[in-house]
Amino acid sequence: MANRLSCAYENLSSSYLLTTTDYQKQFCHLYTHRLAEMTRLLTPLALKEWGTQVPIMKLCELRGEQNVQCIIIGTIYKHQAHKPSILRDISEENQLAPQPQRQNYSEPEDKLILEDELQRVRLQGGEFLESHKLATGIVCAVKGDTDSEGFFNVEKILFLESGPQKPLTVKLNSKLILISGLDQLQSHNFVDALNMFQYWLSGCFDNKSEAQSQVRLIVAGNSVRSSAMAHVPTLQVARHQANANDTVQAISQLDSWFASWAKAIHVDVMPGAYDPANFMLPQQPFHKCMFPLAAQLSSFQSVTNPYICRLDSALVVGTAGQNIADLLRSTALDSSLEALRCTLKWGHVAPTAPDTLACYPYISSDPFIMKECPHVYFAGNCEKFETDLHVGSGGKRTRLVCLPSFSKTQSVAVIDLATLDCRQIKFSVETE
Amino acid sequence: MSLQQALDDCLIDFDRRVLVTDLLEEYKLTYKEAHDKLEAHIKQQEKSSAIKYEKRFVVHGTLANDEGELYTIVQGDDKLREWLGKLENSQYHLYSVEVAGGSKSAAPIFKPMQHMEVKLAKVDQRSGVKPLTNGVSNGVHKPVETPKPANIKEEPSKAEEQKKTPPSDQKGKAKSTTATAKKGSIGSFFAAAPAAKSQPAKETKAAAAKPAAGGMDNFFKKQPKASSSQTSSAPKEASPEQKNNSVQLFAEESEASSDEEEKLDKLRRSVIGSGDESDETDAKQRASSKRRRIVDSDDEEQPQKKSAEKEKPQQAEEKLAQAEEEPMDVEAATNETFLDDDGFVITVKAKKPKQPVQKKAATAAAAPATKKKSPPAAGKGAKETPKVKQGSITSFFAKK
Repeated sequence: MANRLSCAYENLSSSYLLTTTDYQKQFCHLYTHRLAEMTRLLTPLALKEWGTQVPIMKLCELRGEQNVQCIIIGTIYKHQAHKPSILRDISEENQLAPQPQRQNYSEPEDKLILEDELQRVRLQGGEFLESHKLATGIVCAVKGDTDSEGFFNVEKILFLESGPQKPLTVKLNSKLILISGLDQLQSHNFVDALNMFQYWLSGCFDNKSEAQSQVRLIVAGNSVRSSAMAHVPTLQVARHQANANDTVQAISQLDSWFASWAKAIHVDVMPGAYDPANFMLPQQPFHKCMFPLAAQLSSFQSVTNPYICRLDSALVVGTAGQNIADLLRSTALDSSLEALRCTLKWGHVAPTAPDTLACYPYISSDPFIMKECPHVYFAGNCEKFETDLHVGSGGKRTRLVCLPSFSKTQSVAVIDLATLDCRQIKFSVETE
Repeated sequence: MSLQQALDDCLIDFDRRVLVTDLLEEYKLTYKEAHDKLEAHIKQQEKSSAIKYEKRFVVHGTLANDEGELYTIVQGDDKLREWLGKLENSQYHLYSVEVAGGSKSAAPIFKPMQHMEVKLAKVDQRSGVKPLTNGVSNGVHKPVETPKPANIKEEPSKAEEQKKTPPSDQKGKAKSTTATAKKGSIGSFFAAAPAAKSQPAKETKAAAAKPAAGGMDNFFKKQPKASSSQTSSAPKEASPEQKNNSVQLFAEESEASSDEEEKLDKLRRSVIGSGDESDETDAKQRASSKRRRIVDSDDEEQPQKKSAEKEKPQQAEEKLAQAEEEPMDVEAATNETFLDDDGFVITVKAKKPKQPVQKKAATAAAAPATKKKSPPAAGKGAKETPKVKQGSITSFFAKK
């Protein structure tokens, strides 16, 4: 029997752990802090990029003057006619039948507005401003000038690009395994694949040397279920009665799986959109009582969603995919990978939170800002496996990984932390 | 039994789908070994008899167009050859075998793996995490904590109750703060249950080998067997040293032995004044038996030594009295003593008329029974100890 490589590990997700739960606060604090923090980070970048000739101004300083070239740092608000609105729903509920929610509510007619601390200005900019790819909540610096109609003509746009990146000095061959969407409730459909996966994990299929180099397994959400619950006649009672027992059984089974896997490899389990966890981001770690067997092992831990950790020197950041799914709904981005890349460029894990993505009403910080550029950035529960090595400004290299749900594709991702190479491993059963 | 032997003896039922992974778990083999043995056996069977086997294989290889690696399960030799051709760097292993057209339905039960070829070098057990205790159980929960060395001082000839004290309890008490005392109390409570049942000595070893976390397990296992007297010991101060209180009290007594004890004895005798011979001998016997117990429980008495050195004579006298009296008399006994400026115990004279009557009555009525009941009585004594301390300290300052 061989031993696995060891690897320095640091959990950096403490900023996502909620110490208080006060849901009475308004979300404006979050936007205020986001803008303030990102303005602080963007200002030197803007000065470096565009020099000091063009001043950084506030909207109120323009005072309606025209043709004043300046830099403005603000938060984008995307005015979308079809964006879900609770107010509209309430106002219309007595007159019209509820309209089904659109999968994507991005339209070419969507308007971009830039807001700073006090005012807002409508943006226009043609090719410089790919409005269909932008979303509400992004903080950026725009260079341009105002016109007589009150528009701000954008010439250039600058994003944070997730801050600086530490150099990568990882031991040879350390590998990280990512898996998402175990969907234990439906596991009877892919039980052979799951069985193969676990024996592959333990190096039984003549892959001992490879297994030895795998240092950690991250389970990126939706381990219990990977889709919304089936429709039930009444919301609360029926749901609890019909599904509670199934869920408990599924968690119990997961517990035994994780307890077994954690003897072979370090396992980090994130909650996902459909898991029995809190709904708002950041999702808090599963309580240890949910996994009484696995939680006894030090190699198993429940972690937050989003999750940040450092393996040797490689910074790993990931989510269970809610941020990407929500971004795909509000923009015309064509793939999860592009959405993931955009969030990296924008320097914010979940820009659409709290607008269309539920998140905790922080009042003194915005923990979703990416202050350090990760080496591995992943999103779970995507439609398909996609990966790319993103090279940002200053040669920053980030491995982007869109993980598909294991229940759908029976595949996992293996990332070499030294080279940032990534490949997909599939476990399938050929149907006759 | 080895896999080969099981195959030879036809102990594996191929009417149902047999997974190689299940054989790994059963016979603790590597996948390759299990695969080789099973394949050889099947070939031999197919040659020697007309049995046809339905085989599934795991084919592993690299997909074309750099789409990653694939592990797929295919059925039959034809499909195997086809897939071996499709994939680059392909290889295969047997995944499952069953008799073609087997009578039983293929219903494999997939279990979490236990046999693994690559493991973590070190997997610590979290000491803080314990199995659910509030009646919910979803499997077999073993205690987590690492066993502590069984370094109990055990004197073979001594009382069994000492043996039944878990080592962890004793250690805990040695360091006793109030909190630890409380924790220990739970342990001692649980340990008291077996004491009531008087289990054999080997039980002690088992307890030592098992982690201390088993406390709650013990609770659930042993509580029903515990005597009713233990279940009644609910209050948090009383339960702590339900089992060991007696030992502890006696321990203190032993500290107060020799000169002081003799003085106290004299004092007591003078108080009683009756010169009842039998009473005296009984008391001596008790004192000696108590002293013998104290020797066994050195560890436990230490905290008390520190905290209550001044009270020792006082407590010693109390406990002697308590050992003889019914629990109801305790309060009267405690009221009559205090420390003087020099730290000596003084018996209040006003108490004199009460005591002899009670003691005589008690000794006369329950002389044979007191010995047996000494641990619970001592437990009561422990309950009262704080009060006594409080009283004595306040009076001490008042005098100053």
